[in-house]
Amino acid sequence: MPTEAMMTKHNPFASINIDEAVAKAAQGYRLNLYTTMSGGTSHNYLPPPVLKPTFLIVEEYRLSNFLGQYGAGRTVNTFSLLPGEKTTISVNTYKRSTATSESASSILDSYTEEKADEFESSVQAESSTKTNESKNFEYHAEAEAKASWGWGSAKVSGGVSGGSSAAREEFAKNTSSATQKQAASSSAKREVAVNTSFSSTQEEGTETAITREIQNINVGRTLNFTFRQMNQEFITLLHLVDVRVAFFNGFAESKDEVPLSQLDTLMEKYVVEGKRKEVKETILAQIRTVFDYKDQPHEVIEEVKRPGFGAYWRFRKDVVSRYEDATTGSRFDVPGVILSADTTVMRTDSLIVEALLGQADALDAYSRGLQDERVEAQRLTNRRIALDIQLEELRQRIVNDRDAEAAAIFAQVYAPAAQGGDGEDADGPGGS
Amino acid sequence: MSDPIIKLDTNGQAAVISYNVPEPTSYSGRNIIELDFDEGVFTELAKTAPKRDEVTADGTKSALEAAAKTGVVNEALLPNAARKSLAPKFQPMRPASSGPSNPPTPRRR
Repeated sequence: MPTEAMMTKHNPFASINIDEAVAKAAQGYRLNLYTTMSGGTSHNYLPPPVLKPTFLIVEEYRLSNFLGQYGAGRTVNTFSLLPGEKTTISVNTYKRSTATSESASSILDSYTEEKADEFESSVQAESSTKTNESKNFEYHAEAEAKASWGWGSAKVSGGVSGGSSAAREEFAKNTSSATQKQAASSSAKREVAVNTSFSSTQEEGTETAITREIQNINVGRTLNFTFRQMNQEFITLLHLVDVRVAFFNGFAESKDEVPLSQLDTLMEKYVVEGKRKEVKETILAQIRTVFDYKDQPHEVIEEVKRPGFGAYWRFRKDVVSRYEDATTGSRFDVPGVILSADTTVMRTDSLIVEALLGQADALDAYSRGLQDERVEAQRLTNRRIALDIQLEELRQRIVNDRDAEAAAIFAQVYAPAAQGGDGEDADGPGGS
Repeated sequence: MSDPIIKLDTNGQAAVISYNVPEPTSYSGRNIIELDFDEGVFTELAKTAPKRDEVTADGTKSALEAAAKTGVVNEALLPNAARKSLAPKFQPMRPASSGPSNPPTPRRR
């Protein structure tokens, strides 16, 4: 038995402003509840519908995003460390706070209800006139209704053809535009900052994501760091995956949507007897050929004839389109026909850093001389160690070969030095 | 000694790790194209508007106040809200002889 609290939580009417609804009702507007793209429920107010019987082509689309190139973008920060200098760096990204992370999210690489619904509103705003918007909401007034992105029209009376292709092209353009707008807006909010211990002003209550200590171990040259934000390219494909048909006369109650296979049922119910074949052919003609983003035609429907089961029309199951990214050579296969393909570059919260050694020498002649002598001393020490290793290898070879003559020569030449000189040579004045 | 609880198939084939496996994100949506037919091709049923109660301020107020408590709304007054509500719907009965009925509204499953 549902409790009162549960009823309030799941009751879409509980959040409606009754005063607003009453004011709208006085102007003839009725309340409309609709399902958003994220699956939530929202509401608006619709004017009285206009009675106008019509058939609708209901096209099901998918907007699929794939990863493209990945690489360095804008320079976030540069700083230099003087010879021997140390500093601490911290990296703050837009993902550190819930507010900035949400505002920077986009439908391309993350999912939030707000962004999904924002995208839906945006694409509807791109594609709809006020009249079409009302019709769209009136048509989708069902609990199971899927997100509706566009509402176009095509003139079919008087033998006009190609109207649906133009409407489809317009829809693809509007969807593409809405996607690009959201991506650009989100990407602009993706701030990443690199602070150093000598430049940061720590605000009270803030926390830093990554802290590291870095040092310039060079004694004569500066070390310059360049931090760049990484960018990710996305390939967005809008593809048509199914087509249904519907009857609608402007009122939500009249909606009668069926798969293509039941087109004849719609004809029998809503078209006068002498016109059924003509209307059916006109509808099929508007669906039959779809032009892809390269303006190539594709036959997307087929008539299936099975002995004993009659004939029916359906969306072809074997329609698969391939998109090939010219830069990376990546190929993406998606079901249906691709109507638009866009590439979008989004900033990410990742950084890449490059260290560049300064070219100018910051040591005077005396200091440079000390540095050179120190390097020379280290070189000589290494050479001495190498010679000791060679001597040991020679000693082992003589023993392995049982070479008495070589052993005698070795003993004559090296034994006194090896016995008496080990400690002296290693710890002598030239050794350090 | 009993067998281990898991072991590799000696004749099995190892999975190949690809250098690039794109992770697609996908959204579904619909586009509707209205076909502008002459009205003469349609039957009387197609050209019949469903019966709706006249929308009034008082009626809307009382309907919404009741709906806020119960989740049920008068479908004849607010059809677009009633069809979204998950609560059971109450539709006024019509006498069989009152002329053409409203077009059916099948619900997709």
